[in-house]
Amino acid sequence: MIEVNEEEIMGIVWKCSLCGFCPQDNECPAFDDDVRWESSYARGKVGIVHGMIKNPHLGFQNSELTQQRLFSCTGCGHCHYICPSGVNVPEIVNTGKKILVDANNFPKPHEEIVENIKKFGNPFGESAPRAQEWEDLRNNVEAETIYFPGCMAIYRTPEIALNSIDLFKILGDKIKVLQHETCCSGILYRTGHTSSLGEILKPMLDELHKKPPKQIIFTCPGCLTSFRNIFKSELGEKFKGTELLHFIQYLLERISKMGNLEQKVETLLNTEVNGPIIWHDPCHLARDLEIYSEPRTILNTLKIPYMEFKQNRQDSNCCGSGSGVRAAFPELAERSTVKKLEEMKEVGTKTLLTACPFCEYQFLTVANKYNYEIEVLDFNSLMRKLVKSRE
Amino acid sequence: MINYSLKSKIISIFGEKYVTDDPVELYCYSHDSFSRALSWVKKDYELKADMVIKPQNADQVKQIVDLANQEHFKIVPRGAGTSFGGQFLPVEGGVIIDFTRMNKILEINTEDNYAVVEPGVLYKNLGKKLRNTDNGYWIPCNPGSAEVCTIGGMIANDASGESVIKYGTTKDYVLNLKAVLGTGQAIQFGRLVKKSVSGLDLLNLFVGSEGTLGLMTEATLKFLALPESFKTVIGFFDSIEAAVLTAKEIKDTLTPMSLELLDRITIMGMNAYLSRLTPRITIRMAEAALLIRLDGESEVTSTYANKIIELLTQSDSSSNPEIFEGIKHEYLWKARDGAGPSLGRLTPSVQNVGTYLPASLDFSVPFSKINELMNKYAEIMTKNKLGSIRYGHLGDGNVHLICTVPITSEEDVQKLGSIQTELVKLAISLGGSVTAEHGCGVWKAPYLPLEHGEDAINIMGKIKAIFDPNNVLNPGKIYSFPNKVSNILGKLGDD
Repeated sequence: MIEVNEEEIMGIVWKCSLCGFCPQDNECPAFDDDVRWESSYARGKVGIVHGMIKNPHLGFQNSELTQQRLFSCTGCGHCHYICPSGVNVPEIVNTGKKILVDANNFPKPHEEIVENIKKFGNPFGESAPRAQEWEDLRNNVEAETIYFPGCMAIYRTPEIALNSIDLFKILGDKIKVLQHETCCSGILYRTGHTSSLGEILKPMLDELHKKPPKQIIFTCPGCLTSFRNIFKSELGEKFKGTELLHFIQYLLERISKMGNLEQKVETLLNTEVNGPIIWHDPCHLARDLEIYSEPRTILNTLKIPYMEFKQNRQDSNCCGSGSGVRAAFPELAERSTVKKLEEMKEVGTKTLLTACPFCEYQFLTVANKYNYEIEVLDFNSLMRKLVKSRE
Repeated sequence: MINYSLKSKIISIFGEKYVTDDPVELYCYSHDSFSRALSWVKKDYELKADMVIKPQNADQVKQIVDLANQEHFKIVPRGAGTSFGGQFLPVEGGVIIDFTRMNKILEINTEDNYAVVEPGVLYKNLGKKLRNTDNGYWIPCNPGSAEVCTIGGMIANDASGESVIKYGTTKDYVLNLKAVLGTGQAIQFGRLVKKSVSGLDLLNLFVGSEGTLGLMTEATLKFLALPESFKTVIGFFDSIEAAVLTAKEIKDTLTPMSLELLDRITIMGMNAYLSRLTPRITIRMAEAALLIRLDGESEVTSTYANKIIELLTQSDSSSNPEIFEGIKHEYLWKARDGAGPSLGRLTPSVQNVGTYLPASLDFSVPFSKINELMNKYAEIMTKNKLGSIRYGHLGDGNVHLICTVPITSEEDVQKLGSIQTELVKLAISLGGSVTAEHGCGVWKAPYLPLEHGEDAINIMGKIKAIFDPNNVLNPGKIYSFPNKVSNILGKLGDD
């Protein structure tokens, strides 16, 4: 039986005054914009979890509707941002998911993800060793900075990792990758499968404890959120003395030290990318990590013109793929992606720029499926492209 | 209880897609914030609807009311579910009618300046449509829930908010209503004109009746020309008393669109809310602040703003007033709309708002009695060793007093009850009203006899019986204290 800190959850639940300001339509990937039942609002989900904890005899933990409502939540945190009371709905929903997993009431596709992580160290079930081509980086004992590419960049979008490694080299920074790197397991937390977190992460955390690095730099905001928040809340891991950064933060710091950069750079994009570009704020990056001004500062400093989505920064709408929703409810996930692709069409841009491997993969696959002629550009890949064009 | 045969009849009216009796869905529909908190501490406390339906048209509404009379089940109407008074709680079970599917704007008539809408239309959506018609129009009721509430909910509760001082409440904009009474009779109240003294005013009897007399199926509302500009002057004060005195001077000089009071904690809550928006704005900290919103032609609002600045500058207890306009103005009022809920953002650093249950009271008292109410309220809170928050629509004497009462046991519920009763008696003794805008619902119903007297409540009950003789519509609200929750709440009204 899963243990729930009633007092803690009650504190969050009580903050909800059911004022109804919860996100609707485009703003919530899980919102039922057809019939608009109450249970699909954020306040409805809070109510469901309240019912499960307070009145377990009602049996909500065995309900199909409960499963659908809680597991269709991508954990994007838009509701947390919009809520006047600041109710941390994703945290409440995650508690609900844990209860559902305990009751064996969860989407079956998640079972495979869990098994894959346990067996192969990645959610895709890829048996190839992680980053085998980076043997030199794995053994780079001198480096005090670790680069953590994450599963998606290793197995699905390798250009992100390769371009990032190139940029480290160009900027003259020595890095290494972990000997025992494994999936950050954020997906396990966000799907309620937390019981084996400690066991899965132990070899990697042991390596980090043995020789704590000065910095760990991530290209996946989801992985960084896991290291910064989930490892702390679930395992008490604080990474004392180690700085945890997204690559964009690292890049901004390096650029700001270059001096007179504005005079040196020219706008080179017109020939490099497919027309005007639009910046998408990934949920973990903008809301969880509050990194939304940094990419804009870099783009502005480098005089790279870009457009904004109507809702942007911390108010950005989710791509729809997070927290196992793409696996369990693919059509729901696609609905959110298509809405953003439609907005791109409306404002007349064909190039989407972002900095999250999951978002990029989602945009790319959905655009291909529905014949949207767009290019999805990773932030680091764009940076690498710029450097290349100046080399 | 809805048995299988009755369920089949209901499904045949609405279609399976728009009917649910899933226990999880029913639970979501059967709570407001207070009932949720009560259910946490009170083990046998449970309110649950038997079914939720989503009608599409007036004919379906009539059919369900007819069926309720035949089969003896209760009906609870609901808009966006934003009310704080327990108006939509199914205290005797039954069928909740969620009106949000009846959301068509049927007509915008610019010749005679009225709009015809279904009850589930969002105030925000109607506002957007009016703003974009010709040179722009609006219906300036502006309840705090303006972003999410429905027109039907606003009419049922005679909703209002920050612009009552100049523009009145929802009833001032309702011209005509179509409704199905509790008897099942389809009826129309009102005309296409506001000015009429022909007979008893049944239209205004219906407005604010919280769905206890009939179910609205169509509403006609008048609209006004949208002002050219908005500006807000913020005055900062070293005490609430000083702010109230200055507010009186402002009222005697001109009629602003809004005249709002904020105390220090409310400012903190609003700043917490504002801190997430870009561009970032903050309200300067002070013991109290007045938000004086002006609307009209640009030149006029500038002249009035300067006049108010001059007035504030003359006051010894006020310092460095500011003018907000444009995006700053928009964000400021967004934050003001969310001021109550945003107090939850302060937890746990400020007086445990959020982890404690905020019992929000919305008294109105004559303006001259506001300082007396505030001071005695502060004394009561101090006596009970509780935190307190004060803000509200000062211009019309409507203040929100929030007691931060820890609810961790049934004893705490009783404590809340006795404090509320003391405050209610205080407001009434000052010539005020128990609820200025939140409505009676379940939570204020016990106090109505204190305000109106038993005789007046009996007359209200008799009127209800004419419209709804079988008491099928929204039972347990306004006129009668609900039996099912009286074991808990009965003590709220006692000494």
